[in-house]
Amino acid sequence: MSTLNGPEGWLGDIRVRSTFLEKCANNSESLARRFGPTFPMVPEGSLFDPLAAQGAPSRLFKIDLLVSAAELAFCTNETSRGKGLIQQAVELLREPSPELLLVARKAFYSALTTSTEIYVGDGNLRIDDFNRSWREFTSIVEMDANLPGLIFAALATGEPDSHARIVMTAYGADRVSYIARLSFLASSDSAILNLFGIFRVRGFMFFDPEELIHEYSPDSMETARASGIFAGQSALAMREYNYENRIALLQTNAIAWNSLAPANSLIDWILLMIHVALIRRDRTAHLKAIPIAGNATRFMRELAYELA
Amino acid sequence: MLSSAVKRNSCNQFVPAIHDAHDDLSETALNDHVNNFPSVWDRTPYISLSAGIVLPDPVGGVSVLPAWLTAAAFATNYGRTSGYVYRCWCVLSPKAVPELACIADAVRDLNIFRKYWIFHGEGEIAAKLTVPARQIERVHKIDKNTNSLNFAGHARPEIFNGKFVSPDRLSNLLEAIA
Repeated sequence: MSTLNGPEGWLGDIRVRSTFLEKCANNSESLARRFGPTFPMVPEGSLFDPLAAQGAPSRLFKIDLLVSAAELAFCTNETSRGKGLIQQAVELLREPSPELLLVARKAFYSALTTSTEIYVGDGNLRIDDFNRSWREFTSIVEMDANLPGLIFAALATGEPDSHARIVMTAYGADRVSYIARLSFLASSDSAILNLFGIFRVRGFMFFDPEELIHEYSPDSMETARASGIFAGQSALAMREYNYENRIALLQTNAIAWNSLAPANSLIDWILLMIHVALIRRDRTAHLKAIPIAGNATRFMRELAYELA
Repeated sequence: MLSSAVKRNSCNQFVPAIHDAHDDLSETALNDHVNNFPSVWDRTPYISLSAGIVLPDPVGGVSVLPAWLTAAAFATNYGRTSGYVYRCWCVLSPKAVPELACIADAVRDLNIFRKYWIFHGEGEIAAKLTVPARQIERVHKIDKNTNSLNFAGHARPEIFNGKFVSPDRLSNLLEAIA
């Protein structure tokens, strides 16, 4: 049973809020029209989109509301309802979008709750049959922000050498994906990839140790493997402690916490995806090797087992 | 729309109350209003207004939360009671001016209020003492039954203020860029 511990009466409140968010998502167009400005903020015929200026809800907004509702459902052990809400959000993303933001959201949430296959290759991103080249995305910042989630989403749906090729190639398809890839590989989260049976033996590339067996002695490979696993487990432990600290910090604002208005997400979605990926790839030994940092981490791991 | 401080001091004498409440406007009072509201709810000279906000998204990119979402949630206690949402406008300053009654403060803007709470899940504008009636465009009723969030079947869910003055009267910016 996965429940994030909260104050007394939290569970009832959390269900009410989750329902409220779901209703707002489903009625967001009419609500935004109703509450939006009636006076002409943007003159007719101007270059600006009048609907956007009136606060017309985007698909992204509805998705975010559904994900927020799902988050609250997950926190109160309503896992199947939470999954249903996430699947509603994925359904909103069925139409292809040119925006990386929406494509990445689709890949991430699909991988979490459905049997969709995500491939993060060196030249493209593929979600089942839906294929996009990295060249179509031109923002380094946007790609930087989305790539970690995509990589772990891919690992939740398959093995690294088939589904997360981007970390196993020396060069990206273009400048944007190359820089975003290097940026991810320079982060501490990249060490978590070691837990999936691939190791960074030299430079900024990961390898399956079996491929390097002719270049390195078995002893040196064993040493690299052991230090890689240690680095991976440390990086994952650090991520879990950060999450534990985030929840503790939210709890220090007792008024906001007790009135169920924590001012930040209650779930670390990337951490959840890492857990799900480790469980699905049958690498739970690494989770067991890391001491549980606290109640929030325990909740996150139990939720991951239910979703996996 | 009146702040608690004005209501508390008024005793049916509105003008002296407004005058006295000016003395309550200070940086400390604004900090208490934002970060320690339960201690000052019955005497704060500030009025919290909801505003939209853009947040970093945990999965990547950003999330955009509009003002009406926070206002509707607050007004109805997340759909548990009936409530009213007022749509109004205020003049904001790019610098903090807690002492000036006619200028509102965007208290969740970290460019201005850096020492305030580190997480910001909703936008907030702190108006001072009153929000003049001519700056309130309309009021919406949200029924207790959360199904009526879309207002279907509600006889008269909103009332417009005939004396409302639009904010574009104050700014020539939109004419310049149109």
